[in-house]
Amino acid sequence: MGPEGGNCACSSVPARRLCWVLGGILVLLPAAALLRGQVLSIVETGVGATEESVLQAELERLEEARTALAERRESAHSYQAVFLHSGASQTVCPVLGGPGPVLRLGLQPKRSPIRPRLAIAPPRIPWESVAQPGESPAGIFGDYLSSQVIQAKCIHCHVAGGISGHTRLVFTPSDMAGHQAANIAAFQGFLDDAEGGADLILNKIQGAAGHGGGVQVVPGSADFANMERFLRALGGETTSGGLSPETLFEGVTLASPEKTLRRAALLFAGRLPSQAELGAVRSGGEARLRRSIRELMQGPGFHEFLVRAANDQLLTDRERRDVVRFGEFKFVNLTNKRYELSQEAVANGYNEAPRRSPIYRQHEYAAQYGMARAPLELIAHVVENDLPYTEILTADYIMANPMAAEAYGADTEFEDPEDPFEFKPSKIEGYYRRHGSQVVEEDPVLGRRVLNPGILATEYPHAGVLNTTVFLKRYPTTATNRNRARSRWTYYHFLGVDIEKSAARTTDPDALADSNNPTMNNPACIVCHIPMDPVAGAYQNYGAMGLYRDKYGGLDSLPTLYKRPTDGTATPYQRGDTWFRDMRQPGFNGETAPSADNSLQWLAERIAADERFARAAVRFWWPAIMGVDLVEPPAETSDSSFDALRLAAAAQNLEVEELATSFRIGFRGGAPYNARDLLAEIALSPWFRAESITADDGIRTAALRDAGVERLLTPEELARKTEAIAGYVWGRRFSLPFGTGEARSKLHDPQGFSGYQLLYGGIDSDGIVERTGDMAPLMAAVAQSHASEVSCPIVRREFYYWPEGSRLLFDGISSTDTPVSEHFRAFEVQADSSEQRQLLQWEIQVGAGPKNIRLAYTNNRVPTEGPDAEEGLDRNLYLDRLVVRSSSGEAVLEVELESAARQSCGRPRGEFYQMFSNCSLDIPLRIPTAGTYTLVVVAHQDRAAEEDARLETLIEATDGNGSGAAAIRRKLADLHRKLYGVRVALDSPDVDEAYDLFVEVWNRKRAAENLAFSGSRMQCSLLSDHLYFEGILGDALEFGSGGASRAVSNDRIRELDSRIDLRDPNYTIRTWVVTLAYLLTDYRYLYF
Amino acid sequence: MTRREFATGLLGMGAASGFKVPLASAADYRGKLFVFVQADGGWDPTSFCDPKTNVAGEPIINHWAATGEPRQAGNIRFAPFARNVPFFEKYYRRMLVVNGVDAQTNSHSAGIVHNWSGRISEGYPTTTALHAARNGAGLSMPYLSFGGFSNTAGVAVFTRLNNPSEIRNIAGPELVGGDPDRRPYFHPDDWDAITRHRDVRAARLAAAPNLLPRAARNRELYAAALASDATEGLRSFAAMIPDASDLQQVEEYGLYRSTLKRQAQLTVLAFTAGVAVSADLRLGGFDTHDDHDRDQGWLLGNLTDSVDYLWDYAEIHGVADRMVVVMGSDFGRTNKYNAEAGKDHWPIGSFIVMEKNQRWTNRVVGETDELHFAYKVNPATLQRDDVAGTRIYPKHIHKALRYYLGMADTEDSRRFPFSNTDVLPLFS
Repeated sequence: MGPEGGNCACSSVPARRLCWVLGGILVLLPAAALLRGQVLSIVETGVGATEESVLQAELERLEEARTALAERRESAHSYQAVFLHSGASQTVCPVLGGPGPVLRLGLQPKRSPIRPRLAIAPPRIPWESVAQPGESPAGIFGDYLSSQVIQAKCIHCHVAGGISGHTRLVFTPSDMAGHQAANIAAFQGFLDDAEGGADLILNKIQGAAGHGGGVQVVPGSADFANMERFLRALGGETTSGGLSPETLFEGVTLASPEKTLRRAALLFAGRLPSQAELGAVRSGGEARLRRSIRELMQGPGFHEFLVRAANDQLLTDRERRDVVRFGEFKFVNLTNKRYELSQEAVANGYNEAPRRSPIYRQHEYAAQYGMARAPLELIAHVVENDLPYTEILTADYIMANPMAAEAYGADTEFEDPEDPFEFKPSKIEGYYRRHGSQVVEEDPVLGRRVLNPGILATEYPHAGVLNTTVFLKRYPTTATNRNRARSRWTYYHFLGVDIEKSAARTTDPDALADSNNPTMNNPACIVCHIPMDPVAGAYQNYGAMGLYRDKYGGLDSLPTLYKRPTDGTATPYQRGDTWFRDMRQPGFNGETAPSADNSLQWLAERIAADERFARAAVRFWWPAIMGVDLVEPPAETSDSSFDALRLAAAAQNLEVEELATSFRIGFRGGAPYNARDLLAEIALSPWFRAESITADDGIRTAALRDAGVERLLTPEELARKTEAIAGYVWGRRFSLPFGTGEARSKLHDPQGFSGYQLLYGGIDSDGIVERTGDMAPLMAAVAQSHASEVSCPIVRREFYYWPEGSRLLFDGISSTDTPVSEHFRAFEVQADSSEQRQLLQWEIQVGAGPKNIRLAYTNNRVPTEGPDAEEGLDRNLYLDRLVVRSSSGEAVLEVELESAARQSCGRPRGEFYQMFSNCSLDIPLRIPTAGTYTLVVVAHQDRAAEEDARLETLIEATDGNGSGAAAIRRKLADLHRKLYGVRVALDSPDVDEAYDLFVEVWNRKRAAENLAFSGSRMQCSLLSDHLYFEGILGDALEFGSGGASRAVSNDRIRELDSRIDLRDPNYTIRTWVVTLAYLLTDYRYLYF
Repeated sequence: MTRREFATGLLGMGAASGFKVPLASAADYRGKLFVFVQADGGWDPTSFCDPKTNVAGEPIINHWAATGEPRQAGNIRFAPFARNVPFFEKYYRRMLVVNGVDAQTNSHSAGIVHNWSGRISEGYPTTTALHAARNGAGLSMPYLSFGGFSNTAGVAVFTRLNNPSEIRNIAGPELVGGDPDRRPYFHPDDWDAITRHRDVRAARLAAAPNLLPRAARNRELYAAALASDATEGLRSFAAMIPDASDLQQVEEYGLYRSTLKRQAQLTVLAFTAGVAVSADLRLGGFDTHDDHDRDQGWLLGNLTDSVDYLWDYAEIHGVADRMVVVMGSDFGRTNKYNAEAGKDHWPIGSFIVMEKNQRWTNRVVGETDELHFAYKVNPATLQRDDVAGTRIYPKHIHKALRYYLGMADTEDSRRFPFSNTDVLPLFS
């Protein structure tokens, strides 16, 4: 038992052990642990009878809790399992059954609850080495800290002459005698001098309080606990709050497996999960969820996710149209291809500006695209093929499409040599460095042509992403920058280190006046430059525009002014140098690159082997999944948010550490560095799945500010979602050479930045590089416009152009289902005269109550054009009488219809009511008792053309209890499921709200509008999506001579419409348009 | 429901989400309009508002000094470089120049954070955001951002206006192309029904219990963004946006590309429409490690031309008298050229604060020596005080601005305090 109580003595517990050293008594059991089939029990020895009985009682309560939890496993994340009370100082060890981790519980010496923290499986960070209670400071330091932390980490900076040699904590290196005693004394001195010194040290080592070295020891790890224990043993006071990274999610409920799968499907696959997929996780629970998420990671949607997410980090799309400039001739094939295409363009009349010709432009776009997408496609290739993720740096090839491969001189075989989206691993074979042996011809119109590439053919030293031309061009160098930007971003993306953050410490301008090569010598500068410059040197072979050894002669990429200063100063340059002599030599982590020829390949191998690479990978993908970066440890201890942000950062660091550890060795026995496994595990983390919270702790709430993935969809994700759900893309266009392989839309323009992509929080990979998820009114206007414009074409296509079986949203609902409809039947009136008047009869089951019978004539129009056209004919419908009889034959209603009032579309005429235009009559009645009734209408027509007059008969329940109302409610609930992924009851607030809207709009339309859908006073922008008529009309998409897509012509649409009954006699289809627009503006549609 | 009404309705929810919908109504706001012009990359004050000539025995500081001397307009000295002369001569009466501001870093990211928020470590909002939070409640786009650093720390939401020609199309979401003369996507009655029912739902979802902070904040923001007066504001702003041909065009010079005049134009229009109260404008490219004079010359010229345009355009639209314009950068540049005729990073920089008809203008505060090292100033007198004075840091500028703009004691400002920092009498 340690001095504070709550410590563990776990020596008797075998295998991997987890031990939370905390006071309090709340046991929280993550649902995930139980769902893996583990059983919680408490094992303890040596307690007296009193304590034993207490513990036994608690065990029983625990069992109840466990059972309750098992019943709630789909929604529960954590659960209060047991409170332990004891009056004695004891140690107990609840054990997770099976080979899982072990948790130790400590009892407080006083009669107050203890708050042990329960290990979850898999173990977070196994505590292989934990100091025992009561150990001396020297013992703790010697056994657990000196070599593990101080000499392994701190000493790199906190040493005399080191970067942090000026601070109050300076350590003695291990090669000096008495180093342990000296270092303990250093700690003791710090604690004596610094107010709150122990807390400050603990803050610093977890990256908070402005620690320039960032995170060195992760809270929750054995090292952290040992440091805390050591500082306490030295007399330091540490402030242990009630919250820790392990308990942060207590009181948080996780999204169900179904909801998690839906979000993951939209995120990773750009689609909704199928019913089968949902069913599988519903029945298979958590274990199946992991597999199901993993299985989503395939297909074009996943590819798009990977490429977009990678670009959000690398931002290489900025260079999409200009990777290798016109006039550059080291890529010999590209140069000559450009020349040939220019010749061809001139031959086709583009005499002055052949590069503006479609043939030139389209090839150029495709080739530049192939080169620009190389790093993103490499990452996608590695992930999609389950290659070790390290290959993104170590690949000895470059990804290229057919046009880029041709430019590179690669002999790659493609399935479709014309497909700019087919990327294959390729080798750069046709790169020639500049040399006098080259023969290049230059034409003012056609450009350059390489007649003889010269002798400097290059075996390109591929190094994955790092020396793709576009990556190098995105982060160019200058004569004084000397590849430092490349180094900075290499650290950032692939080692998870932001060097600029380490430069945030105060820089004295007097120190900056140093002219004695300050990056080598000045302590104010070397903070960054010691790690940064050797990595910059590893890029020694790449010039400003990313080309290999681009200087004349092909020996190096050193700036000319460095080699031959024009101001008369001496240069340290010597012939054969490839790097600056007044800089640190190319290398990494204190090691020098062995060869100048392949230093970047060497660096790539070193980074891939560095343990930080795995952490950097987690950091790289986290924002794409969570929609927000990882929380940085706060710098200012005086900030009111310091505790919360420190907790959040610590919890996330723990999460990152666990993920990275498993990523290195393979998740659950899988292959090391499998990125799909990593992505799935991130999506399974509570940071993704957190759904709601019941705790009201202020710090916890603030620390969970980024928890849960209920975030705004990016513009690209919103476009994808609408496409997945309704098959419609707002403003979809295509252009050659990309064809239908890549769409531009109002929410996503990969070729430029027209439309609303930036207004809706997107990035341009240049000046705007961070997505914003905070909804501003202008962004809301984009969302409203989206709903306004897409709802009508979606509804129109589903009800009019698609067969019912093909509908995506409005399956299972009829246009005759109105808020009052109970029964509907249409009759063809064939009788051509009053003498032949026809008896139309219909037997129905009707409930009791007030009803309305609507008799509607709906096809007055006679074609005047086309094969069925007939001039001078006028179809009319005549209604004689209406009778409704009960099953016993009693007439409950008998109406001579000529008694009905005159309307603009009909009038009484003799014994009949004549309808001379599309028209309807409403006849109220009350059904006394539910039962079978027969409805009889007597009618005839004035024939016109081949088609008979159509009489639609609708029985309406005016009390709103008809079958139509129920059908509409069912559809609304169904739409909530399809659009938002939520299951709502037919009488839920969600359905009530939507239904109220439906009724309001429907009533108004029924009172004011005519029967034609086109008379619905709304604009239906069918051609916004150029693929709208795909599958409805042949050749729905054409490309103009300039390469832009064209939608089908209005003539073709009119011709199509002439063959379709575009009436909406029940006013429901247009009402669904309004309702859908409303539903598409729902928060849950626009956010995950 | 109006945005104002929604904001009021959310009063009890702010604590839960951490987000606070501003309380004050901006419907009749007639106070100051705040513009922060960010010269990204590190400008060169010695060729601008803190002119330095060459010193015998020292490396050349400025090539222009070989043939020219610093000029003076009113009480303000400036370098005869780029297009400084017409700018300073036209505007010195509106200028307060603060020289010798120590950014305490030569890191771009730290310098940007420090100079735009007042604190070198991340987490504080820009003063622009605080101003929007204080005065822009209920407005459609109280805080405009054209890129660059615009951290809000949750006190406000910024709006990007990067595709102005598209705004008309969406300002009236029910209209086709924003044209009220065309048949709309929805009849006004239908659109009214959609918005009414939608607002009811948005409010209900925002009031749901047990929400995580992120969800609560998002729901509140969305509900507030939908409110009717925000929509009306957007429409009035959209109606003011000129046709594409009348928008200020993108200006290019080599690899540089400036939209600063267009940013200024849209900002003034948003101010005029009454839909915005603050804006961050941005011009990048000042990181001139090579060919410093050539590139800084164009960039500073573009910067001053654009600020000149901002004032002129504001004058035309009647909002110039309300504008406070601040210009600043990550830090300064070295007091010597490197081998590539460039200048590297230097932590000492300057700010220029501009406003019409103020007694604190036509004035320079802060001083640097002949090699551009900062002197300390007395925090009360602002005179050089090498013994008991203080260096001027960005936090001094921002704290003084908070006081001047009347938001020193707002709840947001108290959440992000500049403790142990003198309030320099910059504006008295």
